[in-house]
Amino acid sequence: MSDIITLENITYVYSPGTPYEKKALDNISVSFEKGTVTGIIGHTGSGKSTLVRLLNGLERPSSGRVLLDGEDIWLKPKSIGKIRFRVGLVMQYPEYQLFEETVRKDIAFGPKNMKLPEDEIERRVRETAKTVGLSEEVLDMAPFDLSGGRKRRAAIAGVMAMTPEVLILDEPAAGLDPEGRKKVFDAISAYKEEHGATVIIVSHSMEDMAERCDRLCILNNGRIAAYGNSGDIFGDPSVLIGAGLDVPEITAVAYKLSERGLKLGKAVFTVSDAAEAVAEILKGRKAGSDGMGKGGFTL
Amino acid sequence: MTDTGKTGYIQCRNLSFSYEPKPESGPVKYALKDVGLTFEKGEFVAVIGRNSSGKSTLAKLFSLIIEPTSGELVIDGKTVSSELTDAEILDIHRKVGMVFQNPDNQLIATVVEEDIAFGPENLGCPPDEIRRRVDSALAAVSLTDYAGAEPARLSGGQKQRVAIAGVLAMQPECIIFDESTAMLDPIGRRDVMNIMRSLKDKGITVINITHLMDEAARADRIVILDGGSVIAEGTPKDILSDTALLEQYGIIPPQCTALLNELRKKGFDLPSGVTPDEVADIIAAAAGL
Amino acid sequence: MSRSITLGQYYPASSVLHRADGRMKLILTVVFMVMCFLCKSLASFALLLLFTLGLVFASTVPLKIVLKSVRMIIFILIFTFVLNIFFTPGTGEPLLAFWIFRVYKDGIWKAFFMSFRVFCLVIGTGLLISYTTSPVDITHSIESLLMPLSKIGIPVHSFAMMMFIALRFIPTLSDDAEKIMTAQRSRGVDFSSGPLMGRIRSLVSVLIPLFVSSFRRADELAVAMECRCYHGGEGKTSLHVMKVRFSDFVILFVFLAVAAGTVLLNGIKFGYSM
Repeated sequence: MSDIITLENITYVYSPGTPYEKKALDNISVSFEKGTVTGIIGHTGSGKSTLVRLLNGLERPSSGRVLLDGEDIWLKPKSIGKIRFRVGLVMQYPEYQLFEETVRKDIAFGPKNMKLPEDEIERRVRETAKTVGLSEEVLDMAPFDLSGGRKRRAAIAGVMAMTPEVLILDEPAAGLDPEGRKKVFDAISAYKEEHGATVIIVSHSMEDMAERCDRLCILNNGRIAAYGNSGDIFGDPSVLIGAGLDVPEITAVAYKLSERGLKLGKAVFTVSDAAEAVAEILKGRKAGSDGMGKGGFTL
Repeated sequence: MTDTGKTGYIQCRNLSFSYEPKPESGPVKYALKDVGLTFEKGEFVAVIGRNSSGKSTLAKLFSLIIEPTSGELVIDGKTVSSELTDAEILDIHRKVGMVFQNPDNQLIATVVEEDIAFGPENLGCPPDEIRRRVDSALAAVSLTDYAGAEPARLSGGQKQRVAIAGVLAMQPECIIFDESTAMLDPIGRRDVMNIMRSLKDKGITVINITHLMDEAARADRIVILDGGSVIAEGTPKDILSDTALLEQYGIIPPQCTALLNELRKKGFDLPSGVTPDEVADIIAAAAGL
Repeated sequence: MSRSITLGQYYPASSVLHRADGRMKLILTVVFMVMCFLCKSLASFALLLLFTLGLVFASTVPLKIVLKSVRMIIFILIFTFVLNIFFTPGTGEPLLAFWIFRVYKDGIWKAFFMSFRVFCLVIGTGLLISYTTSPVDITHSIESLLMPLSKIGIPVHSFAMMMFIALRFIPTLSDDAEKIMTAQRSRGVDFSSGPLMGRIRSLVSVLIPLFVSSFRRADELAVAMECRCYHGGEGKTSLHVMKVRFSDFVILFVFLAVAAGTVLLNGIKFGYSM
């Protein structure tokens, strides 16, 4: 598998030369592999929002390079707009960007800016609406009349309709109820499957991240504290705690069990994995004691 | 004077609300229908439910933004109706404080202490009394060092704590949190949750309206709303281990209880637990440790 | 990322001028303006300059920052200067004459005096109000000074509250605007180039969401205020009581003394006087 997007020795300084000068990112290098789902985790002010804005060329690094498919995106600063079609960014609370009279028109806004032909735009709107689970009737409604969850998905569709190779989402499910969260994440998975896209999700929700991401990148104070497979990261909660983050409840339980001398074997971070592992242990114990009992009997 | 008998601090009887009580066609659509609920003084209750379950309507009723379409809502012995005098409305606002979702939209002043002073100022407290209240409210949310700060420079969690202090300065008897943690990061959420607990310990009635199960699990009692009706009420342990109930209403329990429920499905007979500590203890005990 | 936007030019510090009562500063501003127009002779202008420099010193605002506000009115200064130099009728022989312009000695003096007056006016009022009084204090002070008008039915408190909230929400809304613009840029909007119609259309994609969010914020704020017992200005007290202290009167006395001084110095007809 090859890397689609790479950050090379990126440093980003805010308001340089003023009293508010602040180093948001400090010499960061990281690559995102094609077709993976990577989670970026970090507390407020860890630099993750800056990282995301660098990835689609909204900000220009103070030093270092951002490579898309091996090419520096700032090689031709004039055509940075084209990069934003290839690396789509869904900002936090994206429903605040909706403005057209109908959902249909709003989803078409991005493709229109790409100057695609009318029928292609039409096709994309229908296709994306399906991906995010919005029906035909919803397409003709005013975005402001939708429920919170639908509004969110309509806004996400507005970025998906540009069919970016890399889709970045900043807290895509923030503030939604469990059902709404699930629908948003399902939509993201569907998009990834349909387009073979690379997905980068920024979120505070450890549970969601544990469940949805292949890779995790932990940011702390503008540096990468850890980067690796979800299993490895959650296997060692000390890194998360060190970065001022919460661990998923399941990881906390596993950690507390290991303190009591019950090792779950491998790193678990989803409920079903944990149930499996705990059941294994409990069965083992039972079988052990049963066996002993039986053994005692036959003797 | 009607004798309401033995009632809670906030009492709903057959409480219904419709945003459109006289529709042009079709039946009346209710946001809340025949809700019967009692919130006792000093209780910590979580009201949970998905979007459009009626939980935000409940919050609006409690904050007197809307009036019941039918049924009765009694707050500290006063029945909410259009007949309340301005003084009575003011008194209910003082006693029942609200903390809303977006901290940016509830902070009024540009300096932390001035914002906290807003409530007592409206109540006409003398300046030295306001000062006393502001200082004690700041201490209660551990923001004493930020008295002179600009709210715009604070984190979301800190802003929300300023909002709580602003309510505390009115010396309320009950505080309703209307999805107050929805926009916060984990640290901010944890801080706000801890403050809720400490308020309860001070004898203030705390009602946390949320859709986050792991928050609900930290209350003393959970009320579940769905489709405008109360569908379950009970302690977190009872509610969260009732898998049939959870599945029927599509409620995703916090991971800890989900783990125990999953294990029960596999045939292990385990007691209920809510926090990681409890769950680890339960599993360790089952393993014979 | 909440950037804080400095409203106006407020320079946080705790100088004598910062601590002075806001209402007194508004009055002092009027006194200062009158003082500027009273100056007529070289001597009185010299006093005015000394006094203005004294104000800069007393405010502890760095001179560099104070001069920045002059940069904004540099064209007005030049205009005043040029206008006066060419159009002041004088006696005797013009120093310079071409086409319809005649430059007299009086003109040069007058141009110099007039620009100097504007210069001092800008620095002095800036120091008294914008640099040393926060926008919120200005609002409170105006409200307090205008309070007598509420007796004749003018809703002074409501106007002041509106102004106060508008000031409070400028940074929030500008943050909103920035976020919405970023979102639309991510959807391929180019705000800086392209045909005019396209750019107007781009603006619509920012303005509509901005309106929607302002209304939502206003709505939520109104509810939050009501829940915190806001019921207009009636019976409302304040954490900070505005009190005119002895020191405020001292400052007022200094101002009046200097004003009197300028009038006296007008009598010294050295150089030129208007």
